[in-house]
Amino acid sequence: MAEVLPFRILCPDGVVAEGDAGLVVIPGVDGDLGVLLRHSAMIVQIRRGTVAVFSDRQKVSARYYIDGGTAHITPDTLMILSDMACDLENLDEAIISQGLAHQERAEAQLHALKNPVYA
Amino acid sequence: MASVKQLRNRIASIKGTQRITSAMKMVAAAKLRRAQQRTRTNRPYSESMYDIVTALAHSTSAANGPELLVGRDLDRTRLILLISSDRGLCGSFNSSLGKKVQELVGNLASEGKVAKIMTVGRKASGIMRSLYGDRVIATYDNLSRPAPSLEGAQTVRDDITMRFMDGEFDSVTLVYSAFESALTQIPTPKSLVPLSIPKATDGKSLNYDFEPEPEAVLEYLLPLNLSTQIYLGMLESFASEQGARMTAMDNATRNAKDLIESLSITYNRTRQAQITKELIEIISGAEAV
Repeated sequence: MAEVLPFRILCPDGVVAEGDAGLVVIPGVDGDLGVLLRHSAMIVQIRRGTVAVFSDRQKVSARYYIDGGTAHITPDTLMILSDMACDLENLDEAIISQGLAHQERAEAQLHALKNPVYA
Repeated sequence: MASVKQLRNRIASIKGTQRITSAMKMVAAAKLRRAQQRTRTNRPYSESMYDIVTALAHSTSAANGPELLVGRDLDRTRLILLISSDRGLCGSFNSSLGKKVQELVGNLASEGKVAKIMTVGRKASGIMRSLYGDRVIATYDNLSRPAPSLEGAQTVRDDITMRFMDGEFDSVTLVYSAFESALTQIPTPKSLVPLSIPKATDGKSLNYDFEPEPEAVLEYLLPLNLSTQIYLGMLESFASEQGARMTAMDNATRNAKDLIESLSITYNRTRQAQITKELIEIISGAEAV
């Protein structure tokens, strides 16, 4: 059997996904990154996008939407941390509106930071 | 001495209270189970976040680290972020947190430092305002109702970060109630800024590569870590609050039971005495005729 990499996708409210994969492709801020077992230890900032999980090295078995975050890669595990993540297969209206609210809030905060109001 | 009617009313009233305290105990037990579950599900995320920040902190030199990680050299003003409950009837839960803050403020004063206070939870805001007045710089009431949320923690985090950048304080200590068991909750201080990072142990730690530069990742991650730690504190405090309420309501239910038993004895004796008195009066009346 091919070598497998144990991976986990974690959110503050629990584990979104966990399992073994042949390959996981994560959207790093400097470009996509394929992670295999025995990858060198790395901490990667992730941009908003999708994480593709390959059961072997050719076939995608699952895709997860991820709202930015951080990946902690060690030679024997991959840990992905994000404020919000979900399986693209199970995407529904509630998750989309939650994501939209999250985005609007983040934009409002950014706007407030860029345009401070001085009394 | 109370009349039979007065005693009967009092027993009925205590039974009513007992029903309420017993229901509150059951509600608190159900909420405690959910709160413990939420704390458990959050833990892998918080622990992983802490591992990443630790690895990053070891890779950047402490002197050049961001202020949110290492604090300011001139640590003159400390912010105490106190997480309490929004509702009462939970025994000494809030007062023991208040005592812990008083102890911390006293220690800071003896070191010649100034303490500023920020509260989460309606109960602490009242206590702290009466004790420290203007030194309470912000209060967040009803933030954990019906349950703590990450958004709530982020709101507090944003306020803290903004005030820290403005130089309102130089370090931050979180005071929350750590959950030991339904019977034991421990008021715990935890330094958020500077973050307490264990020393690197040679041979054990991996040599990490970073993408982008470690300083950039750290700058991105520190506010996230801050909100994660606040959120974990809120979750733990919420579980502790439910545990404290469960214990307090269990005690109240037991006290009500004892009171009902003792009042029932008095009631029966009074009733018996009244019957005996009436019988004596009837017999005496019959004998007189």
